[in-house]
Amino acid sequence: MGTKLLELKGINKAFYGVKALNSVDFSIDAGESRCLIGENGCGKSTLIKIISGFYTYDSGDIFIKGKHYKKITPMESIKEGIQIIYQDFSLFPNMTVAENITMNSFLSQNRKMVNWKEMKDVAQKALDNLRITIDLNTLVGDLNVAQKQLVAIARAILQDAKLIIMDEPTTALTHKEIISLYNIVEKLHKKGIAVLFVSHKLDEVLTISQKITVLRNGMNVFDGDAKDLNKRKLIYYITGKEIEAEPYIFEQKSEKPLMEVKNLSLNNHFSNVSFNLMPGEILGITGLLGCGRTELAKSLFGLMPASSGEIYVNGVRTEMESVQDAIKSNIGYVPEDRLTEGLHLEQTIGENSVVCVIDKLLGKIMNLDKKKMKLQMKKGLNSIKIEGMAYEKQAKSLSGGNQQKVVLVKWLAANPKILILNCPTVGVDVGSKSEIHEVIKNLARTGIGIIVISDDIPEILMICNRIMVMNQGKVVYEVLSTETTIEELEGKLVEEHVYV
Amino acid sequence: MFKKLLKSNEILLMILIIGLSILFGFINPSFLTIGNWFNVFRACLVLSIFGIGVLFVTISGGIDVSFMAIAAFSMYVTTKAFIALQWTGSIGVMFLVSTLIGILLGLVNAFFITTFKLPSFIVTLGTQNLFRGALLALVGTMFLVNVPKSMIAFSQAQLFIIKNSDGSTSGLHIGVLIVIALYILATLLLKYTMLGRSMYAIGGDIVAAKRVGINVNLVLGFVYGAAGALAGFAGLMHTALFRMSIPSDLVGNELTVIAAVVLGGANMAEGKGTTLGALLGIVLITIISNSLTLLKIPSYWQQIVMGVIIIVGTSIQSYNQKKRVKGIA
Repeated sequence: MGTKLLELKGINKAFYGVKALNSVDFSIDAGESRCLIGENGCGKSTLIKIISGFYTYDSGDIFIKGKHYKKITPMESIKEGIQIIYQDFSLFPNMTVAENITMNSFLSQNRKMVNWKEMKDVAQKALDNLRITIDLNTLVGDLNVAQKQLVAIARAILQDAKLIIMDEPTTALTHKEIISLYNIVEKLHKKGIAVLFVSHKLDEVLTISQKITVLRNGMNVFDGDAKDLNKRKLIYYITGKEIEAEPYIFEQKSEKPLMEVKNLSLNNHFSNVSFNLMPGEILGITGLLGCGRTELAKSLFGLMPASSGEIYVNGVRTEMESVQDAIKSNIGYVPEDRLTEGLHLEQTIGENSVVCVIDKLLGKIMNLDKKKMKLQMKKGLNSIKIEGMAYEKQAKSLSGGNQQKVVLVKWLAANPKILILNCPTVGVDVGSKSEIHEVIKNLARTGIGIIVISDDIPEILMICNRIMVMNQGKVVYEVLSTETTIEELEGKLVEEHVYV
Repeated sequence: MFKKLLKSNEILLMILIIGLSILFGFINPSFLTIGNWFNVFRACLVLSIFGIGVLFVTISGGIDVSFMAIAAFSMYVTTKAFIALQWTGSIGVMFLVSTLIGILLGLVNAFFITTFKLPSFIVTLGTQNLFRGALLALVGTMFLVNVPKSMIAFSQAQLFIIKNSDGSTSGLHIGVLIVIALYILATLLLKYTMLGRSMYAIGGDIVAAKRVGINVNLVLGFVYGAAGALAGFAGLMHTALFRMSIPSDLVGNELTVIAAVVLGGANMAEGKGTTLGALLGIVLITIISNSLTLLKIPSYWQQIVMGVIIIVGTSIQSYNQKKRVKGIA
């Protein structure tokens, strides 16, 4: 073995006496693709911030291409070719693709003037290099997530990146986009550029990385080849315990469907969607981004009223013209993006948990009855275990998984009969994910009908008893989860996409 | 291509300006005389210089409501000092001094915004009152009418003079050249320098700008310093054109300029804006107020009309924006 591209030895880091990293060894070779995985708070972000020079470390050594660093600054890290692509990509939405790609390298060359022609040439070369086609004159704010990511990658390469660190790169991507990202990573590999993924999605981690590093409680608990691991072993390393997940078994208790949907259509989004939802059933709806799955969910909840078709709730024809209509029919909706749609992050956890039933907590003169509110908070927040929870803490202090649990509590307070969950575990770590799955299954067992929308096929298979695949606004496949496999469903998605 | 052009804010504004001119010309033919257009340009001079400063601040994601107070402070202090000196020299020196005072006051804004990470609106609302109060309490409240001779000469300096049909004369003020030069400079700065692009970057995403390695504090220092400088310069020009300095003048008209620049397509939430748009916005607002005066519409009604135009104009922009984003998604 020659010298490693990057090598960390015995790194220690503590915040206010709490150990975040405990003598961690970590290394990556040129052209290697490695994945860093672990639960929230395991020290992943701390490690990355140390590599990029944003945090100093208490003790240990860093070697980059054999050169010893006792301390490293962000500038030195960039000069050594270490580039981070953050989850938000750090792009400028008000500027063109060309300018975004070249901005960093022009700045680091300490330029004073802008030559637009040269800028476009340089940017075009950077895109050609990756065989990507994006119009250079488009504003980045008008691109979709996958394109933004490509722009960020092109920008990193232009700065002579030797190691690209991607923070949760696939969270907002569709299946097809993820595959094209894999291809890009393959190209980087051939150019000798190393890629370090930080990811939560286990299946993905196992397919794309050659090497895997697992952190748990600030310690490196696994470091080795991806091929030596399977999903079960990986989960064991991440959580430190065996998680035995059982598929959801649906027992039909009544003949009467909770919800019947007949030929529901919304212009340009979906057409002729029909299905029944029985009490206690968990129905999965999957499909690529843009297939109409989110719009369907929003129509069922009155956010985007359907243009034609019928919805029956408990056998009664119901017009879902607004959210109020949906709430009257006892429907709850947990949106995809909990950060912008689901929670008031600045407010306390307690306040968030009661916001859906606030009108029931009023006193005699329309004031908030503090006692009733406390009672409701207790009732709701005791029903689901949330780590690090205190009523008066701000919602943003919780990790992603725990925030999602608060969103669930919030909607359960209104005693919904039908619950629509849109991508309930996006960006949530394995441990919390299985806890959320348990919560969902337990809810269904009490007789609530649940619709789960997700592109995470293993998840859909695990928690749903019936699955519908949507494509281009139509339901193209429906199957019981006991009668299908991951391969078949994934095949369906890709195959359908090729033929359309 | 044609459709794309129609969607461009600048073209829309030009169409609006031409359309309104024709309409006002029909109602009152004197609106379309060259003499009146020279008046309109003269009325635009000061506002359009303020407009550049407002544009810089808006592009970098901020809002400045103190520039009129800075202008009043700089112009009044400068005029008072030079009257006391019994100045007989060039007005250029007076412009320089007023501009320097403006820079200093602008840097006060920059200091609070960058050091304490305070919202620019709060800081400039505070400094607006501070500068205005300091001027009236400490410097004086008297109108200054016996201004230096060079100021009077400046107010009468015409690029060329034409004879109107009724025998009177009208001139195009020389300040038009200054405004054109400033706008060319500002355009070059915004489009072709890293400093200008950094202003857009900060307005687009300040966190990303920091990560990219832009010295955000330095750029914001420039932005508010330049806004102050332009305010100081425009303030002195205001005094010169009216041949008197009124300390209680200007403050209160901030929103007219801000609204004109926003009508011109500038947007603080998205870090957008162009010099041409800002200039057209100023011209549009000036034309409207000029023609309403010609139509003898009382000033309170003018305010109503102005308010409606600002609301409708910005709504159309925001609507177009949403449509564009939806069309792609």
